Amino acid sequence: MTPLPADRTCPVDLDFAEPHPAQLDLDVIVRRGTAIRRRRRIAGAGAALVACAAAASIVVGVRGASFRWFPPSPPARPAPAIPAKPIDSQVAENPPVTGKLTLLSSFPPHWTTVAWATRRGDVCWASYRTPMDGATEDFDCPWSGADVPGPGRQGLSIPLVSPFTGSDLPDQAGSERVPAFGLVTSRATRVTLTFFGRSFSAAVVPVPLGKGQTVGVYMVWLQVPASASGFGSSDFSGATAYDAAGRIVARHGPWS
Amino acid sequence: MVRQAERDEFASFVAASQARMVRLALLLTGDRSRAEDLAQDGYAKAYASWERIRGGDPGAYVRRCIVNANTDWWRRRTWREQPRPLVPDQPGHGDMAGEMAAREVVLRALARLTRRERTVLALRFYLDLTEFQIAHELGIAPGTVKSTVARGLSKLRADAELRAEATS
Repeated sequence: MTPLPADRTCPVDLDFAEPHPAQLDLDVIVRRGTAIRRRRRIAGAGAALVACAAAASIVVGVRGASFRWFPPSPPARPAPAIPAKPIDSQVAENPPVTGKLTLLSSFPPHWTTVAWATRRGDVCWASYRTPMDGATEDFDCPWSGADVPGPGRQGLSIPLVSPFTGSDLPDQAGSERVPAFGLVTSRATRVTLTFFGRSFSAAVVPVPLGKGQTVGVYMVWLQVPASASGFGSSDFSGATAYDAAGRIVARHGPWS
Repeated sequence: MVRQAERDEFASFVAASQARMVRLALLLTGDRSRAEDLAQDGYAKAYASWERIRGGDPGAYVRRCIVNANTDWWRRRTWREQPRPLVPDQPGHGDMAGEMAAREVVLRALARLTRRERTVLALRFYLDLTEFQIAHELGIAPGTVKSTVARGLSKLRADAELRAEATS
C-alpha cells in the first residue's frame, strides 16, 4: 500500500469561487421524482404478482417452472493472460511481476477488469471503460503479500466491495449491482458470498505471483437490495470457496 | 394539501443544499452541465424517497446518489435539464478571469486523478467528511480511503500544472 505522507492537507482549494450560483429546476426534479415513484409502485406490484405465481406453481406442483428474482450472475470468463500493456500510470507505478495483466471480467459491456501481482508482492485490480478516455475508472492494491492465502493463513480473504466499477447496468427494480473482490487459495475454482442474506457466486481466476505460484482472485457481482440505505463489507455474512469437484476448500464466516 | 407541504419542505431542502451538491458533482465530473444533471438526478431520487429519508439525512442520500450516478451518467444523459432562461448576471467579481482560470486548473488536475481518488478527495476536503464516514458512505474499507487520500494528495502535489499555477 502507498505510505501516508506526513502532510495530509489538500494542496488546492476545492471551495473556489463559482461565476454563477447553482439554480436547479425544481419542477423538473419533482416531475422526475414523481415518475420514479410511479415506476417503483409498478415494479412492486409486478414482484407481488410473480410471488403469487411462484406460490401457485408450488401448490399445484408445476415442474420445471422457475421464477428468478434477479438475473443470473454474469457468465464466468476463462482467465487468459493478456499482453502487458500499462493501462495508465496506475499500472506503470505498480508493474506486474510477470509483465502481464490477467483478465478478471469483461462484464458489463464496455468494461474490463484486470488483476495482477506487483513486484512488491501486492495484489491489485483495475477497472476501466473501453474506450478509456485516458483514465482508469477504479483501481486498488488492497492486498499485500501477507494477505495471499497460503500455509498457516486464511484460505479466503474478506471480500471488498467497489461501488465504482461498472455500474452502468440496468436498474433492477431500483436496486443496484456492485462488484466484490477478494483473494482465495489457488485450489479454489468458485467462490460463493452471502450478502444481505442472499448468495452470489463467481469463478476464481488464477493470477500469477511469479516463480510459478498463483493466487485465486474473484470478482463477484452482488445485488444491493433496493431497501438498503447503504452497503459495505459488514453486509457480508459468509464466504465459501469450492474446488473443481465441488468440495469446500476454504470458508470464512458466518460473520455476525 | 399534504403534497404541497411535502413539496415546500423538499424545495427548502434543495434551495439550502444545491450549491454544495452541484459543487460536489462538479469536482467529480469537471463539467458544470453534467454536474447539474447529476445533482438534479440525485434530487429527483431523493424526492421519490422523500417520505422515507426526510427524517434522517437527506443530504447524505443525495450525495450518495451523485457519487453513484457519476459512474453511469452516460446512461442517463437523455434526461437533461429543461432549457430555461440564462441565469441573471451576478454581481461582478474582482478578478473573474483569474478566478475562472484557477478554477479550470483545479478541475483539470482533478480530472487527471482516478474516479475513486477524485471522489474521496471531494468528500474529504470539500465536504469535510471523516475517513470513517467516507468509508461508510462508499462501502469501502477505511484503510482504502486512507491510502486513496494519500495517493490523490501526492498526485496533486506533483501535478505540473498546479505547481506552475502556484508559482505564477
